[in-house]
Amino acid sequence: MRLAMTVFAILLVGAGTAYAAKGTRFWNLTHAEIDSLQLAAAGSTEFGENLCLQDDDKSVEADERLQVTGVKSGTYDAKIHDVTGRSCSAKNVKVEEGKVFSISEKELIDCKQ
Amino acid sequence: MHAEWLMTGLVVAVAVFTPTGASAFTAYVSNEKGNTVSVIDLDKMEVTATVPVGERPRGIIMSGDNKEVYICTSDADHVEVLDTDTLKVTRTMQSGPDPELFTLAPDGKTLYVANEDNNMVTVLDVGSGDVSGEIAVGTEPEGMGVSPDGKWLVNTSEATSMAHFIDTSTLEVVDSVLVDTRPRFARFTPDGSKVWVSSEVGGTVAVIDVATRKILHKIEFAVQGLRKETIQPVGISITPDGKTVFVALGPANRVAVIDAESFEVKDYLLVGQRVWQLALTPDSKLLLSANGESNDVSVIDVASLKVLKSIPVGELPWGVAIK
Repeated sequence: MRLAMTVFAILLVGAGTAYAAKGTRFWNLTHAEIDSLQLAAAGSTEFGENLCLQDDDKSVEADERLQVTGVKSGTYDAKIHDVTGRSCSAKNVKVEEGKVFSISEKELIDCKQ
Repeated sequence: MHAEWLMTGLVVAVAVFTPTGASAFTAYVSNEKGNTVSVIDLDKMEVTATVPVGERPRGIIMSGDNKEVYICTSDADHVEVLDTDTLKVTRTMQSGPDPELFTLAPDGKTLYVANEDNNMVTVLDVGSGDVSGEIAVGTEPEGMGVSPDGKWLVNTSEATSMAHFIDTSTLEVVDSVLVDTRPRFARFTPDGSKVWVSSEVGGTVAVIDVATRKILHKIEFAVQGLRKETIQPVGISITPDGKTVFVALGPANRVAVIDAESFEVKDYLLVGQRVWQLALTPDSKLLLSANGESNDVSVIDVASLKVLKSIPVGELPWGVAIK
């Protein structure tokens, strides 16, 4: 019984490790490649660093995902800029550490070319 | 006499109100964000069941005997097997990390799976569920097509913009063809002589001759009123007679209809938003498109090239399989 419990615990830890290994990821569901993504706590204007700089080629293509570090769980407002020259905002983006958060085309507001 | 007229009237009424006639076909739609598969009765044209599956279901395909549906659950890092009678996931198969798209060998015994995260194609024995081989390919493998005779496998790698030709008897890449940016999908023609490859960012479809591995033709698209960068070819479906090719154009919200001999784009059909993958019914009378942003499936009548209906499904529909 003790052996079975130990094996089960090891499997659980292993599964948890594998899940956490994927980390927090931004999923670009807009129609364009994004070269700047900044987050601020919802309602504030204190935007953080450009998260796209964490990517090898410093941008995130449409439908691609980027593993990001330094983003805590919470609700954020976002500023994005894409390679077509468009700048937009998105409100109330929910981030949960270790999981995927996304911004889709229909969430974009105040877009300026 | 009255009864005869009544019966005739009934038959006519059924024919009128059921545009394609009774089909008894069922469609299975992978919902990438909802983590479900929607089951559509194509006689009723409505969702009859929604089945929870693993995280981020994308590639979806019928088994050789139509008794099971194979689903790439990308974030769960495996392939799930859904029983079509019970609508339960009966088993999972190890697939390598982040399986996105796959194709089934014509004999129904082998799945070839593109693993986006580790630049490999995994070869799966469907019967045992065991990995029987791995093939190193280019960066971010995605599109998977197998020739009708099962001898050739084509994998596209998004980041290297290559279509890799793999000999299935040796599991070796024997040739690579440079196509436009971010190739997403590969589909062999029914006679096996050509393979069509869509390039999402490049905005083109390359038609490659299988024997010589040369690009015979490159198809471009232009939709009035749309910027070129919004036209992003993804899913491809070819009618069994090889005469017509349908290409999903992503955020252009259109399905292009192409004459396979002249390569001329004959029409653009307006469907739902961010149209991704396509599938024909077994009788080729209907074409279904998974529309990610509008969370629906468009049903297209192939003969008239009219969109018959939009069927709401789960969140971010990605792929379609039909039996």
